[in-house]
Amino acid sequence: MASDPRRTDHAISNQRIFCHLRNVRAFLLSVALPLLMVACGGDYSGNSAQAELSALSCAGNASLLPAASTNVVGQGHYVKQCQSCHGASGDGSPSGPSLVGCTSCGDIDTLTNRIATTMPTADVTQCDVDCARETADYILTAFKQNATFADASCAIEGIEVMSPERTLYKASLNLAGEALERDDAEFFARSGDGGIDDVLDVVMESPAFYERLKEIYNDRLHQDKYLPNEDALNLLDSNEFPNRKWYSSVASSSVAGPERDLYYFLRNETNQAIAQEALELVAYVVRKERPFTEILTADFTVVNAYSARVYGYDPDALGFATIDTVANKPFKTFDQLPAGLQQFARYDPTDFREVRVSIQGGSKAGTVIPHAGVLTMPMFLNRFPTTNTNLNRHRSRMVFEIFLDTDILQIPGSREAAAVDESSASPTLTNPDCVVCHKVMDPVASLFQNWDDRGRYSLRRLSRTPWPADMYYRGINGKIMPLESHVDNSVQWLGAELVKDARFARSTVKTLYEGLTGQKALFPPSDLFGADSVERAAYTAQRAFLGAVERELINSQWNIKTAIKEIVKGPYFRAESISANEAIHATAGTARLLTPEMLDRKIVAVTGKAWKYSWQSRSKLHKLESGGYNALYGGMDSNDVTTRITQPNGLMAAVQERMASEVACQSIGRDFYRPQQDRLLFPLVTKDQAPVDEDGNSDPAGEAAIRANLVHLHWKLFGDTVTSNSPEVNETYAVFMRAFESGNELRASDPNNWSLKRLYSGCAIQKDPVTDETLAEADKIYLDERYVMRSWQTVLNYMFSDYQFLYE
Amino acid sequence: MDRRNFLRMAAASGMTLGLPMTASLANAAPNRFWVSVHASGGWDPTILCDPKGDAARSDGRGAVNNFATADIRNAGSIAYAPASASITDAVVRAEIDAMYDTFFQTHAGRLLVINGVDTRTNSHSTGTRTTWSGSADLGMPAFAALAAAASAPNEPMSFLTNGGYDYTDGIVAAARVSGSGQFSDLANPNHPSAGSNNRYLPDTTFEALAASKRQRLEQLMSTEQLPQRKKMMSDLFGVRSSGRNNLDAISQKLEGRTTSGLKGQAEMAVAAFSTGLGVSANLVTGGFDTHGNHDTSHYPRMRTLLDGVHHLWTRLEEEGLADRTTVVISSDFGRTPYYNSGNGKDHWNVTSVMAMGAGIRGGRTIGATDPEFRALRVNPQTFLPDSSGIVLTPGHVHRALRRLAGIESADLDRRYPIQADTLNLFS
Repeated sequence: MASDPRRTDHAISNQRIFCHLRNVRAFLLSVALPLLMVACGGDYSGNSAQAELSALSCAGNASLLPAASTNVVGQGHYVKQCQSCHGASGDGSPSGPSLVGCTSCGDIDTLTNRIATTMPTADVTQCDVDCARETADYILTAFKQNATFADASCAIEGIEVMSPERTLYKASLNLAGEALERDDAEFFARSGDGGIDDVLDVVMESPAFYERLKEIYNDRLHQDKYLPNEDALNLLDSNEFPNRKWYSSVASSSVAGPERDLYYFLRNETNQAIAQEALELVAYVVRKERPFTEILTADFTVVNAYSARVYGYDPDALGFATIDTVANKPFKTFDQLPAGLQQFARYDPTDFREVRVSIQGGSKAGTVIPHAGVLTMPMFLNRFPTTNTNLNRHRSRMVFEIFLDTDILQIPGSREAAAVDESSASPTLTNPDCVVCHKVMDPVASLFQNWDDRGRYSLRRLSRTPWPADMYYRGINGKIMPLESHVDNSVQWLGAELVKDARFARSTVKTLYEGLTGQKALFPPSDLFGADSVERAAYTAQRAFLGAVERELINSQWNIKTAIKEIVKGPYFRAESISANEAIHATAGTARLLTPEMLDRKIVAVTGKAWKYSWQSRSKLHKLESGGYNALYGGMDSNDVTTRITQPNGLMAAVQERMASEVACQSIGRDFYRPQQDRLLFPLVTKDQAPVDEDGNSDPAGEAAIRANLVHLHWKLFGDTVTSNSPEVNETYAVFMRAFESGNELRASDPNNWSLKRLYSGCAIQKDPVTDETLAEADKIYLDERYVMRSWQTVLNYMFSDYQFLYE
Repeated sequence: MDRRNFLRMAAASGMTLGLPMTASLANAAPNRFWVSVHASGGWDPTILCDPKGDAARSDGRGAVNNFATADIRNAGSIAYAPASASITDAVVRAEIDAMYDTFFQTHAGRLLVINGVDTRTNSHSTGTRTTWSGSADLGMPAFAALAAAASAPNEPMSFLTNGGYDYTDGIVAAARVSGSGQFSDLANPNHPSAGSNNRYLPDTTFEALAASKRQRLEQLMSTEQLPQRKKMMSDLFGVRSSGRNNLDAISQKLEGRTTSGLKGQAEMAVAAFSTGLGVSANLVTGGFDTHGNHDTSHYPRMRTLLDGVHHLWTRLEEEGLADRTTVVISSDFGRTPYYNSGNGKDHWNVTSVMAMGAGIRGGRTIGATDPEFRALRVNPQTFLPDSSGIVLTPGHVHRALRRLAGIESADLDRRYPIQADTLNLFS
């Protein structure tokens, strides 16, 4: 197919780029195809994670085995001061990263310096330079490139990965909700991993990818809690930001009509932009190809034309993009508004620009906010709140957990005695049982001292309440923040320190890995649970892979698209079967029940329409659709529910059955109504093409067309590259035939029953789906006298509720 | 994913001698039910079932409570708190007192109060996990999940959760239900709308289709090579094969609506139990993390909690389920026995547990705290203060719960060990 000149012609003629998700495939042909033809046949040549692991192949094990003997002195230091967090075998724990195949250890001097200046985190004075050098020597010889790490690369080799075609199908759906056409996938797959990179580069330019990225980070940050109503805006101080509800002075909501519609449109766009400010910064940094570290260091925030007014900015002065309100009305009654009001809704809500915010009113008016990426955003600070006695400790804990992959609560220590020390004046400073955690947590908590419980910023020296004397000095990892030039912008100092910490790369890759695969990264093997060699090997194999991805991320100047590509091409995303080390790879491969959001996108991608009633504004799986199935299907609201259900229950199984029935119904008439060449589901058959003729004689041409269309559906819905006589197609053909035969028997038994000759009315097309105009009788799709369309409807129902459709 | 998950996957693949996945499919409808009621945020037992009064503390930090010690009320041998004097609105105070009286006077005979339970933490996440699993370890399933897994893991709503600690470790699928209007649609996937005679496909076609789907899933399971996928397919097959997917019944039971909040959660749980669709439920009500203005914020939350549990019990009785249902009520931890500068109370490791219903000998308060709300050692048989005794922990409560649920020494019990002795707390 790829050599077909019509493809190239078509590709070249298609000049639309990223206007809409539907254009992604066309873009693959128009831009990526010519590029690929130049580089055809080449392998991915980057310094990829796979290449790195490949270099550590089994054959090379001997050269990687540690030659030096164990540094006994260093081992002693390690056991005493490091082991509790990093594990006896260097495997790590929730409170300390793995040192096996250490990503950031560097050479002996680098590691010595790091240990001497930052370890142990609770008290850096406990290990001086000599101690640090001995310890570094031990770590490098014992954990870095030892046999365990080399074995890990061998273990990964036991995972057999899926084909590039299937990988592309899966990745496109996962990252952009786009079902790649089979011929496109096969074309790009001919270049192996290089082709995967090319397609992913395009996919990751689509608007849907940035929505997906926001979704992945919302699973960490839970900012969508504030999406409903004016929940985000209500948390901004009305004195400091008197324009927070600027739309109230533009339009009234008191009377139903276009002005009320405008009011709600402006309100929703404004609230959403403030609620998702942190998520938008994540998307913005990636879209602009900035180093991902800027999510914690950016001295700006991002606004769209609607939220800009909240912070006192004129959207026209910032030059926001506008939309074509004729082709894409912001809301149904937009045309009925006077021009003076229409202008407020003409901006593209997805266009975000960077601004610095100043407090707009009240006693602090004019104060410039010292931004530190998401760390200083009002909704981030509200989502992880504090109190007068908590003193930002919760914020500190969440910073460690989200950005440094460290669970402070898992720091080993004795809590067998009372958890509360009443006898000490300042137990967090003096009681060893308390100090072990607080010395890590409290310095970071102190860094947030300019930000109050509502996320409001104040100059500390003007505060009436002094920062408590029994809190640790501002700092992190044992490093005290220099006061000079940081007194009132200490969170900026924190952001800069966080991105220098090797754990930031670890947490970033882990977030992406878990978002893309739907699986938690393996937990460090714990002696507590009697970890055995298999578990250790599984963990080490995965850690070796993720460590290599972390290095790729850092080497790419923190371009997370690089990390995403490495994960997609890697063995854990692509595992299809296991040829060796079966026990170790018991958890390899993705087996994710699609989240409501992912299933929603997949339905749209394959059928062209969301699962919804015509009168609904959103799909039944959308998180904000009242009375929908999002919560029932395991979704989260980022408020009370912050985890997803990943294992189906009986209710979820019932939702699947309901979805299959309804989506098959809404798709059948709609797809057959389209011109055959434009059909998504039935491009290779007509609506009355049966496997037998009117007399009951077999019709080979009819059967061939049906089988060809089944091949199309197997790719479209499952990503399966099957042939018309494969067992899979035979099985689905049998489903078609059973429905066809039983339906015709039923029809024959009651020939005057009108309802047996037509689709159920809700599945039929009597009006044009776009214009809503009643169709001419010949154009209507409802008669099904030979039971062909209902046989296809049965096939669709069968496939929509199939494991391969519902899981990834 | 922790070690237990790892083992579970390995076991599913047949690659190791792993422990059994879950209880075998139960044939009979569930006949024993469990409800966990979580007061989210860390409640203050001293204004509920372990009241201290307004005697000044010796360390100058004021009093534990803002009500007179003499005003502490009793329902049989169970003491409970009056409303705080710092609630200035007389109407609100009267309503709170009325709710407390209603709850304790109505339920004292069946209510067991366990005071002086040391959670050994003041962290919300650790405390919640410890209170509802019996251990601070990561990866421990909630008791409600264990109970459902042991009894009927494949019912559509075996373990109904509204949040709180609902980690299952994969032994049972948790179900979340946010409303009551969808059950008819879910019960009849081939009916375009509830009560309609229309069908998307003729019934004969639809029935044949269901058989094809089962066949297909079995075929996939037999050929799948990745253990994780095989496990997922097996789980899906299990929940699809449940023969009592009688969602219509629950729809009729709820008559299309539920009350909001904790009461609504209770109604849904009881409906699930009474229709044989559920075994256990997590009920949750929040707002207890009152670091500021403790009394005025915390008492109304207690009122909501008691009102919800009272409603739960009323519904259980109406459905004839009260004698087969055990209800446990607790929180992340307790709150400090003194007020901070904002009239709030901060986190405190000592808490209480209340239990009522099947298997619980009520009318008792066991365990103890001192006047400043520190857990006292108690005799492990009598549960009276005993300086050479033990400090009660959530581990003890859960060992007793597991015994009550009949899963002590079962595979699930061995798989998720709790480091505590089994005490005769409940009977």
